[in-house]
Amino acid sequence: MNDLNNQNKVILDAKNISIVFGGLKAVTDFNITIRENELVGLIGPNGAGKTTVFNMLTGVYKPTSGKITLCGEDVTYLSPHVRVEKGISRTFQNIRLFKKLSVSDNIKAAFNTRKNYTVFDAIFRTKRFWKEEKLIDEKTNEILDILGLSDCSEEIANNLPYGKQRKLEIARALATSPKLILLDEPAAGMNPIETSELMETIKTVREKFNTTILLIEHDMKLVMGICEKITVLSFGEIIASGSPEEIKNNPDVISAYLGE
Amino acid sequence: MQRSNNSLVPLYSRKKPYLINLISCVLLLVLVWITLGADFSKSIYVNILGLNFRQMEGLAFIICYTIILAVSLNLSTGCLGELVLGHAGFMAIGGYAGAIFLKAVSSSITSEAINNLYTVIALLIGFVFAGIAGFLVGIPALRLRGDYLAIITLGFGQIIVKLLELFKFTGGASGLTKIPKNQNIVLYVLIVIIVVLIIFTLMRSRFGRMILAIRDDNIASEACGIPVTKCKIATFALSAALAGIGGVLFAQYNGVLLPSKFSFNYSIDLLVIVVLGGLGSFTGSIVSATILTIIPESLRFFSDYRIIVYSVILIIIMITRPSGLLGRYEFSMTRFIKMLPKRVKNISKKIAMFIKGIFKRKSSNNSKNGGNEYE
Ligand SMILES: Nc1ncnc2c1ncn2[C@@H]1O[C@H](COP(=O)(O)OP(=O)(O)OP(=O)(O)O)[C@@H](O)[C@H]1O
Ligand SMILES: [Mg+2]
Repeated sequence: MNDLNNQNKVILDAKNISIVFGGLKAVTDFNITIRENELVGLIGPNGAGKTTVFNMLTGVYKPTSGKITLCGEDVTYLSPHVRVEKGISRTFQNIRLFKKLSVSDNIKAAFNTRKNYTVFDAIFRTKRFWKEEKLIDEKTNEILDILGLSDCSEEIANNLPYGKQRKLEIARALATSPKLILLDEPAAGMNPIETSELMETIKTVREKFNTTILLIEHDMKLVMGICEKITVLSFGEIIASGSPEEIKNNPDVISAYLGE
Repeated sequence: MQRSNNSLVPLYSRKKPYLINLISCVLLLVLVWITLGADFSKSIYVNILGLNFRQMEGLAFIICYTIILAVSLNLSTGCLGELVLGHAGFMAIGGYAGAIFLKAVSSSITSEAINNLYTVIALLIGFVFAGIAGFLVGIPALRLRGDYLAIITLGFGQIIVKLLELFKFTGGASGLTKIPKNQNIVLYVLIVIIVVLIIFTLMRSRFGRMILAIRDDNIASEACGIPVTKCKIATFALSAALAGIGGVLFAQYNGVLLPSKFSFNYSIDLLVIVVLGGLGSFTGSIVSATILTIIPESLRFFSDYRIIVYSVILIIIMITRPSGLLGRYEFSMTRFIKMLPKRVKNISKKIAMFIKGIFKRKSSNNSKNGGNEYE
């Protein structure tokens, strides 16, 4: 298949994953291979099953059949928080922040994967505790800086404007030091200016954190702009997959988007 | 991007806050000792709120164990966000476990020091037993999403009361009597300080952030690598275990344990304290536990109308401060001391402004005719 000459290490490999809700085949035989440092797009009409794919990749749903491997390790049946430790993190289509916590605490909560001190250290405020907390602080500030959120770090997350909430969710996903980030419609509900700003953010994130990104997006144009590889989903099945050019001219894709 | 040094980066000066907190804790203990604990306390006692020395001393004990219960309930209800309707049940388990131990060793209590030592052991026993109970109740309830814990703890509280009435070793409905007392108020306050400190330090660490994150969003927490179920169960078990400590203190103050004390009503009383103080604010819980213990006592001269007045006070507070007395505010000694000079400055500034204002008003009265009102 077309890997765009990218021979980097395979980060995520999903083989024939399917899920059935009651009688509804939400996703059937979904395949995706994502290599290190790629930016892959997952598109498709409403209800195609994109979010469901994300939920299977992150462990919210267990696939009815199929296999998911992360860097060669089978993660198909691991629970979500373990998968985060292994290196998959995500954002949500409907923003899910820790609403009552401050912006910086939202990020710090996600540093929990580091597990560098125990309850004992916390109660007795040992050296280890201070060292780790200081490190967390520094890392948090670094992420806030890169995403341009440092001027509102002490604000309550719920009070942030919409665009910044989206950014904060990405920031939080970065805090778990992921190998792969799944972004579920990060530009949903944004105006064109905010959207293009967000796309810039995603590019910077990719460069600075050296991560691999899988991105769901409704807007075809937008995805075409930044993704190197695109997979198109319709009614739970892959109808096309390849470079933006190939997708743009694929008759199936055109009919899925225009003709129903 | 160059980062200017802003207030975000906290100074990790570890010694100073420690010292300040240590000194304030010691001062508090000394204060308690002088006013209530020492031999001469009675002679220097000043009548406050119409309560005599004995009443005041009794209140102090009640306040101590109420604070522990309120603070521990706040941990699971305020911080973790799980409604608990049977906190008194865990208090009962801790209390009975500690009391049974104390009764067994009562003959060997020969001095105050030994009594205090036994108290500490009883506290540990109460802590462990109530913690185990919390763990067992938490496992089925917290694995599910939703308000199952509220329902299960509600049932648990009722069942515990019935079981305590049923068994012989718990003394049946007439309860456990002749539990060795320990009325060392300084020890009580010390234990309160320790419990509050444990919760405070935990909440201001990665564990606290986990707990608050779970309260705000289960699914997002899971997606941030937080083991939600494990963390919920652990927090709930800790909250139950600390309630057990409260139970032991209660038993040692009272000398008697009656199953009826731990009824649903008492669980609700505790919940009222927590909600009133502010869900998630431990300072709030402490203040409200103190106030809500004192109010009913000092309202005694209303006699029969006491409960009505008390309810009206509760309603007024909830209307005027819907998120509790203190909301989510926490008191910090370090901050207080830092603020102190500022406060004094502010107040003196205000006084100066006020005085100026008086003069201005006088002068503006004189020139009123010349000025434009719509300026
Ligand atoms: N937990 C569930 N139980 C039953 N059906 C579900 C569940 N989750 C998703 N579905 C169904 O699976 C299908 C795909 O939903 P999904 O949310 O994945 O679509 P999507 O591609 O993300 O759409 P959108 O662009 O609107 O976000 C829908 O028909 C939806 O109703
Ligand atoms: Mg979706």
